[in-house]
Amino acid sequence: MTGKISGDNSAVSRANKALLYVIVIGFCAFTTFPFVWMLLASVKPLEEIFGRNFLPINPTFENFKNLFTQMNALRAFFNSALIAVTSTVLSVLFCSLGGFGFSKYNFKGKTFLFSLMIGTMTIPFVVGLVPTFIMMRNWFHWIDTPLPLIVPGLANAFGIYFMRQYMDGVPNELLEAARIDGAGEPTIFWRVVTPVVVPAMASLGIIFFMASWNNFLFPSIVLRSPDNFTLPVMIASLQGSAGRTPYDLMMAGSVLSVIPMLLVFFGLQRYFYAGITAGGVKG
Amino acid sequence: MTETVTIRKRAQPKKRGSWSVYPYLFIAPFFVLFCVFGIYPILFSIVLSFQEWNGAPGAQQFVGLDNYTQLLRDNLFWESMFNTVTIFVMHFPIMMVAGLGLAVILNQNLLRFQGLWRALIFLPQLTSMVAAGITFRLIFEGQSGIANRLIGYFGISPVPWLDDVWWARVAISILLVWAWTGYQMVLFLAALQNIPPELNEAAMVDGANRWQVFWKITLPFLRPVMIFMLTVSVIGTFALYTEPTILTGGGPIHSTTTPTMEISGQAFANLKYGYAASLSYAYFAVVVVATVLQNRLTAWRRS
Amino acid sequence: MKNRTKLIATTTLTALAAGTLAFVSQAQNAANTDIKGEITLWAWKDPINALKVVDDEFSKAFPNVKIKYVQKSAGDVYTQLKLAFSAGTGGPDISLIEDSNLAQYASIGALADVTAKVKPYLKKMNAYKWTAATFKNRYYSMPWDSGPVAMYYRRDVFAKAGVDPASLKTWDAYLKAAKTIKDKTGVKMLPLSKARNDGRFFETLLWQQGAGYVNKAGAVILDKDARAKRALDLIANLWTGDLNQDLENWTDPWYKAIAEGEVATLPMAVWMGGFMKSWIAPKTSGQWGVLPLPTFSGSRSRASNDGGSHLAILEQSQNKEAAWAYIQFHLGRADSQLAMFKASDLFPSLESTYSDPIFNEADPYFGGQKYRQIFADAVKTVPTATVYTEDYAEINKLLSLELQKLALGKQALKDVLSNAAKAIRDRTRRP
Repeated sequence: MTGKISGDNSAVSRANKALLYVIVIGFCAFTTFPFVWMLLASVKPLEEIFGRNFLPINPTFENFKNLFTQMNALRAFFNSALIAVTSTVLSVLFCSLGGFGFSKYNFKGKTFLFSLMIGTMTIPFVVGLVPTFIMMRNWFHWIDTPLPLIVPGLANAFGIYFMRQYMDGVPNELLEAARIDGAGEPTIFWRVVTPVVVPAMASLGIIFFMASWNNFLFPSIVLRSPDNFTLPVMIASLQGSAGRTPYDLMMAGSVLSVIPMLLVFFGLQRYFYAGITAGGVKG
Repeated sequence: MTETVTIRKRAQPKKRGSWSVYPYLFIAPFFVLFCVFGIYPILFSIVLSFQEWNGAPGAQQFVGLDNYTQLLRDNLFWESMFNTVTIFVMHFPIMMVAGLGLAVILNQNLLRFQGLWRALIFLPQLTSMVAAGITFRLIFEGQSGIANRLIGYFGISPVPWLDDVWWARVAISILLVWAWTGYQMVLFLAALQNIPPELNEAAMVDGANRWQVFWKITLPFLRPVMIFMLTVSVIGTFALYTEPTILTGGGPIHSTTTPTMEISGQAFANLKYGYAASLSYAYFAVVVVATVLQNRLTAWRRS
Repeated sequence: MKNRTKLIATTTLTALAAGTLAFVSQAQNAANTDIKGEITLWAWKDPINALKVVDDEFSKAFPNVKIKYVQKSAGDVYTQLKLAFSAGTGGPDISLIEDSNLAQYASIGALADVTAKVKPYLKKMNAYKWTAATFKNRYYSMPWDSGPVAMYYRRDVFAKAGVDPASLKTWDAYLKAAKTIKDKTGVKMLPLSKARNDGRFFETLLWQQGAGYVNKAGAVILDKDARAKRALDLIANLWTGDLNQDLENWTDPWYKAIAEGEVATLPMAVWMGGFMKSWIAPKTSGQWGVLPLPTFSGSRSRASNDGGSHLAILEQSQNKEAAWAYIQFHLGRADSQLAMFKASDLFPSLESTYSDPIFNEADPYFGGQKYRQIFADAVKTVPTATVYTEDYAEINKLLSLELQKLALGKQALKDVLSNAAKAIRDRTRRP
């Protein structure tokens, strides 16, 4: 594995190792605790969720059952998955292309365009909410379809910034070497650069997937029919009276939500270790 | 003859030539979408910032610079900017150091079950914000919350986590460190993977010890990523909405309200869309200035 | 002979009468097939479940009207109504809107003018409900449920402290009792948040005295009206005497305090009773009672209001006739309102429902008290007050900030109302 500091592990004393374990495990306990609470809460009846007892007294799967019978949770799950996968794959692609363009070439207006796009990242989403809704409703008639949740997100300033930074780290010698060998630019992108930044693409993929999966505000506005709801929208619609939140159902919904993300995370983790496969710095 | 010339040209892709079209092609898909979905809302809201509008179609009224002069006196807005700066300063260094430290430790096969620790540290990103918000509220609650019980064991008297202006900011910072360290760690891990091992090995052969390798080789390599994280975190902290809303509701006394919450409130709760737009551009101006300053600073230091 | 004639006459008359009655009622129940259309209604979960209870009857009366329910959370309904309004399309035909938000929608022109349609109901609904529905003397919605406020109290805590609940006739008596209860039992009098106060209790007290944030002309009166001062003083006294549980409404510790008898009283609206019975504190059945609110000296009313909602037709609706038929059927008929009340505890604003036997029922949860009757009596005495104005959201926020500053000792009591009034005047441009 790359990036390691030393190949000689026995040089790390036992005491140091123990210390490292304490730090890491300590931090893990910190990060895991609310997750455990969420899992436990999802199998508690509503009254117990507010109780002082950490472990459930009367564990029940009612919450999950209700989720599927009261609302069309399966359908919402499928909608979320479809939208998340499509937008993640396409967004990573678009941002990689764009990041490559900004990183490896000099062209007229490059700095200006890039700063402009980064600048727009700062503008809060709410500002554009009204005109965006008007566009979706009156111009495109995309209300109640998944399109507003996929297409605009492809032009994600964060993603392009992200890919540019990681591509900056790809040595130019690699590209030049490929050019000398007669490769065209698209080939350079696919065969030379992409394999090097696969860890970055995997990270970005995870980030995009999670953002899409958990996205609530915009889907709640553009999706109308319950059949088209994504999971967060469906869970939010369970609120009973104004001010009364059905925590039991929401915890069950949250647990349900987590499963695909765990899968994506573990699945993409493999790509972290792709390392520098094609080429490497030719000596 | 032509062959040689062509080859030489290809070795210098940054010069002019038939390659000038490629960068545009690469960024085109992105840029077209950006113009369609990004530009219209922005232009609309720029115009809106010079108007007064309650949302009724066609009822916008031009008011010139009134919104901008009003926002200069708007103590709630500037307080929200101040809130964000303090929250940023409180959580970012810790999160960065923790994320980097954990990434380095877990990148080396020093410890067993590495993959498990990595996954557990990343877990907050998979926990729903609602669940996290409720849990942290319970943790930070007055006398009976776990946080106060824990520090009680060390003999420290209870802290008014959610009921005091500064402690509420600390509580939010703790929530942010909890939520985002794993994310930072993942980004650092990806960057560390990119460092060619030959560099480290060469340095070791030259007699450098682990710390020197870290400071002189690894860290500079991580610089672009760190700058990226800084910029994104600044923007992200100003854009915070869900976390403060759930944990503190923006209080007490407005102390954990972010500019995004303030702008959203002016737009949707108070139906002052024009004013909200002007607030956004004031906030945009501040962040742009900060980002440019920071870029100049790092560029200057680099040279 | 005479008897037989009489018998025949009586029988014939009776038959005729019965026949006529049958004919008349059948005419009343005859299905209206003229009104048609498909209408969409936005609301959140519990009200939708309540409305559905009446749907069978409705479809018999209006077989050509189809209703489609879209369930969203309250926050989403409000944001999306505004977006649809700005886009000119995309909204529902009918929306559920709470009193606190109603005036805002009426003032921007989002709702259909239903003045002529609601005229027959002006005297049939709680009078004070119409304030929020009115804008420039036109009416824009139909009231559904009300939130009359009374004092829930714990019988066991009062008994242990030796305080007679009926003696709490004034807020001064309430304060004294609070001290006694705290001394004798250690239980605090009520949950009243300090650093996270949301201003609702202050508004309850204002409303009880017939005051709002502004007067009829729309000018801010907070710093000029003695009623606002009295409300503020009560709150300040509760805080300084440490007589309150410092808990924020609708949070878990708050639910716990209610369930476990850590507060002696709860000055809240009728819907709170339903929540307590079903999910907040179902195990404390029999330990609660209900009393009218204590008064400030000089003010009559022992009731106030918190919450309540309406159904309104959107101006952009293409099916206003069908929408009104739906609203009138569900909210204007005592049968419908009672059916929904029994299913969901949404307290009808329609006063003819109060004669129903359900109000006479002794409720074991409240120690056998006819608690619904208390609220039915209370709701008729709620004063009209201008709390829910079109800029209510902003005003409530600004006032809450000043209250929080007081609670955290960052502001003197004498400055609270003047600072609040100043901020409100500055931002809302009211005189």
